[in-house]
Amino acid sequence: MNGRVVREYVGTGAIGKTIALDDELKRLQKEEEVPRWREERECLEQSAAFLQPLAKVAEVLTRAHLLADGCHRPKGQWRRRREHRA
Amino acid sequence: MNTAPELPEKTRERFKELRGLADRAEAGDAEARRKLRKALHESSPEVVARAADIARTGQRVLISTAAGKDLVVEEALLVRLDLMRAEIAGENPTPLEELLTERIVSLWLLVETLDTLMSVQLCPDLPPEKRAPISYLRHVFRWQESVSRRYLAALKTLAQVRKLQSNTPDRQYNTQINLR
Repeated sequence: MNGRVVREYVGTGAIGKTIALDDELKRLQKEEEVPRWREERECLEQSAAFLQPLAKVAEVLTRAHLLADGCHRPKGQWRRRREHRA
Repeated sequence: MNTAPELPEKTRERFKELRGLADRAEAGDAEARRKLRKALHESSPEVVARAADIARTGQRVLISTAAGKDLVVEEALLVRLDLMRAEIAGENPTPLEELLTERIVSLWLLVETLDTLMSVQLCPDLPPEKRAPISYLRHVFRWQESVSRRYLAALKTLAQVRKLQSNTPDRQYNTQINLR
């Protein structure tokens, strides 16, 4: 409970044994589930992994195009450079 | 294990060159800005095409993961992506607009996948054996938040690129009136 191990007295005899077995079963089920959910999570992450290179290319090319078009980013905000009147 | 797909070696070299020139141009190097314009003209279409390839292949993989083994859902998602792509990119998109559209469509797909996953998990009728542990849900929830933010940012970027690259007036006139 809240990261602490808590011991709870549930009784002796047949009832105590049944509850202990039930606890053991739940613990085993949980242990079996962990790798299954980890696998599920990894499968989803791997399927979405293409977004990383895509984001990198999109970010750099956007920056390159805007700079080449004469824009600048004075305070983190893209703006067109002002034209100087002759 | 997380293995992100990568651009081919030759395209990576071109991409690196563009990034280097963009860094120098942003630092105020006028010569780099000129070179950047030329390099973009020469290599941008190739880099965009390769990145778009990665996006399309990735979308198909993500769709098949999201749809499970349901071929109808898979097909419906593919059609939906095509419609979205056409709507967002518009007529005669520039290569950059195409790339940004692919990014938006991909992020939308992931947002939808994670939303569906969460709503299934939060459904009270879900049998206990299919219920994910809290740690898994917490992870998906954080991921969902970050993907939604990136999705909105990608939409904003496309709008900004369109505005800045369109022929809107780039001069600013300030009028001052002194009232006594």
